[in-house]
Amino acid sequence: MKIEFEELSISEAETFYKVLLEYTKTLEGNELVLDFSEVEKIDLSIIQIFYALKNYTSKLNINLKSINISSTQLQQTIKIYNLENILGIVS
Amino acid sequence: MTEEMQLFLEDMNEQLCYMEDALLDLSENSLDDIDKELVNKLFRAMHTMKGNAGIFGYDLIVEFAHLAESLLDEVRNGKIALTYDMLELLLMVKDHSKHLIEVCIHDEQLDEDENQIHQELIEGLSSFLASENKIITTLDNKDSKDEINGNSKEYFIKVKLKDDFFVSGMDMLSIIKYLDAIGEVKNVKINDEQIPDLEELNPIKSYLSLEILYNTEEPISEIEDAFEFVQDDIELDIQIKEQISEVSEEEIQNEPEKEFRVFKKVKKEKKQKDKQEFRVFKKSKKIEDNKTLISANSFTLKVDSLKVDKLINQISEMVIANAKITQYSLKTNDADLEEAVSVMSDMIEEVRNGIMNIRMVQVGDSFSKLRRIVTDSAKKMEKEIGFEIIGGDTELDKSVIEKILDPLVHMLRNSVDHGIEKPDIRDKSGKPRKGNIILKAYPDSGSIVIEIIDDGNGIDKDIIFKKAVEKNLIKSNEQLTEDEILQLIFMPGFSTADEVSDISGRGVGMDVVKRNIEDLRGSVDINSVLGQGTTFTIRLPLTLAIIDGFLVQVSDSKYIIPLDNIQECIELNDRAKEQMKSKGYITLRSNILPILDVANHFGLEKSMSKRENIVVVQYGKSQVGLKVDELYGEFQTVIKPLGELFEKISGVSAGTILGNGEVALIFDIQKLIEYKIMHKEIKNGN
Repeated sequence: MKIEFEELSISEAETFYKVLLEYTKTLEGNELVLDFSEVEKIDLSIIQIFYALKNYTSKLNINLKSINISSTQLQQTIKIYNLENILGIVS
Repeated sequence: MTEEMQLFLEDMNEQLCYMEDALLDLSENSLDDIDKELVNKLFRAMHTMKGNAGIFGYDLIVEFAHLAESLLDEVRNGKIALTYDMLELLLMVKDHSKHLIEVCIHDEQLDEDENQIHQELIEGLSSFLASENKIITTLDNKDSKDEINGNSKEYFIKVKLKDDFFVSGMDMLSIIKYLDAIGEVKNVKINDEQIPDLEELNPIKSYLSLEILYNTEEPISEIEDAFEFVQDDIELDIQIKEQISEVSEEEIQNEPEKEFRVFKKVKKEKKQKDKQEFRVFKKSKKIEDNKTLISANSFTLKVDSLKVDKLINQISEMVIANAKITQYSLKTNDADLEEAVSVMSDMIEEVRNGIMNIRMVQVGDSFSKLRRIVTDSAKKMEKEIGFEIIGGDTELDKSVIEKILDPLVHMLRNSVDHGIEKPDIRDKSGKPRKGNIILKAYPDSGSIVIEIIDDGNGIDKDIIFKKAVEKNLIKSNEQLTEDEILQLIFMPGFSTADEVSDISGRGVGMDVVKRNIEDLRGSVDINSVLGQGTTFTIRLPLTLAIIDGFLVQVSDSKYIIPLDNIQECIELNDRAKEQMKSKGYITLRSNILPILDVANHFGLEKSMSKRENIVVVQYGKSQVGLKVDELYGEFQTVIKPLGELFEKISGVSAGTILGNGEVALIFDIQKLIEYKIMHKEIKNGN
């Protein structure tokens, strides 16, 4: 799933949540891949959604994976909040 | 602009003011024995600015402020000596910081020139720091973490985000980054236990709490301050880790929740004490910052001034409606109704006074901004001038203060430019090289008086007269008193400046100053002694909205006399009536009291009333008796501006609406007294 937001914060939280929820409903297979190539930054409200997503995928034995995390700002956020495991970042 | 941003801006401006005050205070005194508290004040202002900027993620300000803060820290610790050059640089740092705030809040970048200034100031600060071979640490320099020495403590910070945290728009990441700037964030753990299933999630509601393991030399209060802008949206708990001897560091990192519980149990008492100490610290800091003593149970609210204006308008209408009801109740002869109306009137008056008080602010804060103008102007004119504010705690309506600042700036610049002499000239006249300007405020007879006093050369009345003749403002053979000559400087087009300087004499003359002051229903006077100095005295009304008035009748019209101007009311006996008719004054307790016949003055028909009442009014040091027909007593007066038809009537300042809908004019006591004193009738009488 390509995340089509450059900035993901509380302003986009509801929209992003709906898109994500729709996506999970139509998901086929046992892997959910989040493509962050467009994303520059995220805030805690979005991180909270990722936590809920991680719990959801874990329950259903779906492998959650994140790719193309190129933004320095985003990388810094992930590092500060220790999100590597939550987002399934493969080093 | 968000509420948080508004608070941020207000606080930053407040800190900049503190900084400027402290810098100017230090600049004006010898550096041999500096006031350490001023240096501490400077440091705290810069430190708070850095913290505030950090919370909003304005790294440009944080890094700049960090450098200035480092220098000030060295100064306050006695490691680097304070110099006048450093103070000058810090004043520029203060000015530049104001600019940086503008740039950051508008999400802009520094242009080429601004960036050059930025770099020059950084170099300036660095060179002062380097003078003692100090290692300059910047936030970019991650090695700085190594410098956290043995004085540092490890903290465990638990932040529970309240349901609406996200809606506040604040980003916790900025706070974490700021904490990292003043210490080292070792670990951040997100506690997700409260997050519901994905389908149940409300994305704008917060379910999270954070656990931060943190190392810093700063006191616990500084950590608390980092969360100041979100304090209403979180539950914060900060513990010192070093006191948890039973728990190993490994356990803490792996099981912060467990550590938290253990600590809570063991150190409950300590926690209470810390919190109490923090409250005391916050309280004392606030008192110090605001220079305001507040009781233990009081707190300060920042309210949009438009809301207060709206309330004043509403209470004004209520006052008018109440006057109508009062009049109606008197007609009905219903004692119960009259009593109820009387109680309501008292309550309305109390509410009115309460609301008017909200608008009253101390003049000192606004006046302190003028110090910089005097200092900078003096420097440009190569003069040595001390500036003192007396009566800074005098209160005045905020809107009056705002409107009086421009005239004050102009008059102060004039004092610097034309009043105070250059040091060599003062030397020759046997005066100290350093001149003085005093800005003084005090209440007097229901007005606020502001004086600008300088010990300069004074005003040469001969030069003023000659200039006025040259400019065809008066005729060369005109006979004027000394006061009248001084008043010429307020005439449009009058300027004695031989050259137009940067400081004053730009053509915007004292006439504009006088007009602005009169627009506020105020007045301005001059007293000057050649060679000794000049005093400008501005008299302003306390407020512009509602006053306590005294209702009188003259002929068929009703008038309001501002109660603060009234000294007493007297009824004339036959002897006094005779004296008044023949001489235009009466003798009151052995003093001559000039009488102004209001009916004559306004060209009203003579009334048939047999009573002749005199209301003794005072403005400044002058007293006059106003002859009126009837006295009705106190009246809460809502000031309404006069239309074009009435505004040029001398002796009337505004109007008001009475309970029966009738309009009553409000006397301009200053103008009436001036008229009576200047009038030939009195001169003859005397």
